[in-house]
Amino acid sequence: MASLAAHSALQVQGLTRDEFSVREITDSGLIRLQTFHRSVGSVENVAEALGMSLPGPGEVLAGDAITVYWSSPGEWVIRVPIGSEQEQLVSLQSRFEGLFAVVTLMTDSRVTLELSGVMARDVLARGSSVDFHPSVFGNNRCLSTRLAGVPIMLAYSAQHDTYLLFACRSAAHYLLDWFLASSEDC
Amino acid sequence: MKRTVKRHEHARINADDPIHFSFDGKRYRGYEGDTLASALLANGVAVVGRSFKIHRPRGVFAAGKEEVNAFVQLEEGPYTEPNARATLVPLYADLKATGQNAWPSVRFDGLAMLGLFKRVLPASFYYKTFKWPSWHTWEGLVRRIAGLGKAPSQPDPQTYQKQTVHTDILIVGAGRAGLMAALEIVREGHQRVLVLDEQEKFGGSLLASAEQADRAWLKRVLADLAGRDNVTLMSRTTVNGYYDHNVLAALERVGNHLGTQAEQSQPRERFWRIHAGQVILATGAHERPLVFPNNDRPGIMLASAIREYTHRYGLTLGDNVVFYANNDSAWDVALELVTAGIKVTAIVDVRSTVVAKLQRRATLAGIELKLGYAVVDTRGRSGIKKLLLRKLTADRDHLTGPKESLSCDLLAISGGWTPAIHLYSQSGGKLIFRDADTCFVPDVASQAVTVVGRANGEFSQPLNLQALWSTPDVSSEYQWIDFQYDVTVSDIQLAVRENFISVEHVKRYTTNGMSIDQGKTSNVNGLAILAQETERQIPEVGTTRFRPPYHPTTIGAYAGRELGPLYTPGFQLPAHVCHVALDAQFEDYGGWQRPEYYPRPGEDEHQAIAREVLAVRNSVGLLDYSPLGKLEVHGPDAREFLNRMYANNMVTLKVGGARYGLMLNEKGIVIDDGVLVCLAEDHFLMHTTSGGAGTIHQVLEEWLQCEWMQLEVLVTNVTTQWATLTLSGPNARQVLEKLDGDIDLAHDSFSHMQYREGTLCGVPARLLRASFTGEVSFEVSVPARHGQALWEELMTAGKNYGITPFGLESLMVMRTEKGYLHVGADTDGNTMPQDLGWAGVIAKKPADFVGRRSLSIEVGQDEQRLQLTGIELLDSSADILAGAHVLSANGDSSTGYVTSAYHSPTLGRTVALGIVAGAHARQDEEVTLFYNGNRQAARLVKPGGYDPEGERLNG
Repeated sequence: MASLAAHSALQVQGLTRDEFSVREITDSGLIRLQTFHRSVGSVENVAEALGMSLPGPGEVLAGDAITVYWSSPGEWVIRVPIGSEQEQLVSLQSRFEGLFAVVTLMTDSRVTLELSGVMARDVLARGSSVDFHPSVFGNNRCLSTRLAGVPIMLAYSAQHDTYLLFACRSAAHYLLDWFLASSEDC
Repeated sequence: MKRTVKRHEHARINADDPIHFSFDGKRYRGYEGDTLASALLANGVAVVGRSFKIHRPRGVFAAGKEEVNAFVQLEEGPYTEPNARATLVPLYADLKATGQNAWPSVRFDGLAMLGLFKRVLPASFYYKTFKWPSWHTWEGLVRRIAGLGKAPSQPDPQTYQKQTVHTDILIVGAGRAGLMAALEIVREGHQRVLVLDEQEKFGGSLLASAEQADRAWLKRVLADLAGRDNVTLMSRTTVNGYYDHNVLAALERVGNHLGTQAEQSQPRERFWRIHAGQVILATGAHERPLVFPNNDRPGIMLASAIREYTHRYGLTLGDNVVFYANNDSAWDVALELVTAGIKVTAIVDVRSTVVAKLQRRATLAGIELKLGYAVVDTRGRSGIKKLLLRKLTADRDHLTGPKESLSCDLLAISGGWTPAIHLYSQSGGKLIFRDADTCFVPDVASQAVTVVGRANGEFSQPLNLQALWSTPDVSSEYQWIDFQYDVTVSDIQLAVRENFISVEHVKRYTTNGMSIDQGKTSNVNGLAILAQETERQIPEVGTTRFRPPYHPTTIGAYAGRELGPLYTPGFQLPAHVCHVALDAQFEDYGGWQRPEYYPRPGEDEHQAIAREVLAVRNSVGLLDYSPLGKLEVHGPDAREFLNRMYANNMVTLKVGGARYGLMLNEKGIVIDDGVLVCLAEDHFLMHTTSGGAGTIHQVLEEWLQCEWMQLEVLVTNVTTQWATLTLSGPNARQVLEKLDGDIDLAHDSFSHMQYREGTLCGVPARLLRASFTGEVSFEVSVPARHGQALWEELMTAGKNYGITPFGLESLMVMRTEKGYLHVGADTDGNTMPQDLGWAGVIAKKPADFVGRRSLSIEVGQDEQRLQLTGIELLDSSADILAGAHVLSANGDSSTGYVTSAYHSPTLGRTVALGIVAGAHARQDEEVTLFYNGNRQAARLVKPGGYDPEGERLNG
């Protein structure tokens, strides 16, 4: 018997307008990294084991093959190429041997949407009260907030002028419908 | 009202581009740049509305948002909008407006006969009148004639949008003061500046100036600001609310000026939520009317409005204009009109002396001066024709001398200026009364806000105002204060006679300044008359509290896109497309779109559920159980932590084992239940109520972060990482065995309440043997991306067993047959574990846990607490619904109620659970159920009539 087929969260085209687009990114594997940050030195020890410094609040750090997003105190999301996450997970578990650090696969729990276009910032501002102005939310910044009532993590890349939005997979269709309705003028 | 044949040359309209529109079915012509009000005035339309209560004919009174008369029903059908201020409606091609609150038309209104009864319709007459014989006697009539415009009866085809904007500095109002503030700021730095103005064009009262210097300055400043990256200029945007933390709300009229022909891709309006570092309010001031007998006739207008209609719209509104004023500003307007070629016959001023320079200029302009006079009456039903005057005594308390008359076709009035401090007041800023100008001005701000220009009482020239709050020695009955609501001086006097002293109470009793006016023109006049009547000073009376919205806001704008399916976030199951393909009947369960049941052609709900239940009982069914909450708890202190969180003992739970648990809050109340799985000594998988993972995760984090910070525990929510399908029924194992996997499913190696991990069809899988149906069940979890394929594989594998998808309602029937608790349905906000029969379990637990202390309090030991019980109807063919009351022995009160009730196709009768006072000691007692007027005999029994020994689920 063949392996179970995999389906993306949306299973439909994203959204393309003149000044705003949404597309689902399916080439990312996601791993949640947690450490008991109240313990002195725990974050530093995890960073040392990881071989790279961990981003501070609201920061994104890109390594050779991974990108790390700050999620909350003592918690980060590691983005790796799809298909490599199980291998990465095992590797991380082995690096963290003896440390109280937890890595959990979360690829399937999230839909990753790429938002682009000159109106992207305006559309986001229609569902969130965050200040998305580049002077405040600039390159390689990330945050956790709510968009149209859905908890999300959002990161901005000035290089591509795109936002990466991570949300609960089950909310993917709701978000797409909301983007459709909120970008009719784009 | 004089019809304007030719507009003045300097008018800010496009005279080359006529626009046709209609009012009350008659077609007219206006120009781009007109408002509906200016276009109606240009066409000589004098009567445009009717007053609210006694249907007095009314004409355009103002030129902006302070308009109190010219309210129209805009457009028709789904596009119709009631109570549109004609002064704020930009003219567009084929605009269609009708008068409102009149029958058959505002010109000839049959309901004007109500004016004959004005004396018996004073303030709040309805509180006294409609009591006898009952309100309902009058209700039909009142509902027919009350109200102004008509709400649309069809859904609005237009869309509305909400958006947030952050700015370092927000400037509200782009008149001279606001623009000067903007210039100063941008010269100093590069902060983000947002300038909002409610008008179609920027400039505020500068738009009404005929001075070339003003026009040139405005053009230059706007060009300067528009060229800067850090400045955003937004017109057609009214700031309506000022809240804490410098958050303001504004309404942008995106497509209103385009009418029904606006592009549907654009929202009609956009509701802005503004976060501002610093706010500068340059909201200007409203001119106040003077209060005198019959001051509401068409053709009586604010002097500033006449100025605006003359210079901005190029109108000549009268051939014989008279001014009635108490301050210098109206004199300037009178002189401007003369310069514009309009005949100003006279200025009547309550002041006996006016600065000599003004008197000289007016006399030179041929204007007759009536100083120290008051208007004692006016004539002209559909338009002002004559004024009656009398001289005032030196103290202005009385009239003296004979009555004189002045003919006119337009009366310009000015009772001074009221700074528009509404937003400032909403921000919490304190006001102070300035006697010289008889107005409230900002005093001490409570947020980062600065008020500039006329909003701050900074008038360009001294007003030299002397107040006359109403005409003395004549009837107060027809001296209007709030024009639209027909509030007159006599209404304030009545309120005072009836012992209303507080300005807030008087406002509500008389409706002065409520609804449409929001105090813009009536506030100061009303409270000044209240002060007079109660022999107090105005500051002593104070002003009413200004509250949002400053200007009426469309409900659609508040809603934005949060309508229909977008009203609240909706979550889809991983195998959603499969459920759609099976024609599932979906329902919202905690935000999740889940199948209730899967009706086949010709089946109703009950038949579908009965079929699904029997399929599970007799063979095998498949349920998408993915919303089942799944939290992983890690750490060396994980077991200790979980043992504190659950009411039952979790210390003895072995690796690979699963145990049902109850979770309480600090008050001992049951908040959740579920199965806890031990994955490793320091790693647990907690299952919560479906859809409850987020809430329970927060509870866990609160304890970990606030109370037990030393416990080394990390929690992660993996609910949506895993698609969970429940295979249930006597053939469940046989179906699952058909799939490739490395987990031994044999009964002896994988029994009830056991957990296994491995692979299934080549993907990681987690299997839990737990059952909410009472049959052998496997909760199969795979990574969510494979959920749809797993559903398809299981359906294929179960084909020979007649595998049947079943929905939540079928599950509810089965768990009620088994007597299984559903937290939230079978518990209320007071249910403690002992009410569920858990007293023994808790007593045996040696360790402390959340809520334990509260269980021992007196009320927790009360034997008459509502306790969980099964309920069996004596008539096996009868039905009952959840919510039915369990009556006391004498039948006069309720002792509890049915919490779950379903018809059981398995048992052939209704199965029910309930919480009933002292039920545990009343087993087998006969009771009476009461529901919707019917009574049913029933018996309290042990929950769970189906397979009480649990042999089937252990199979």
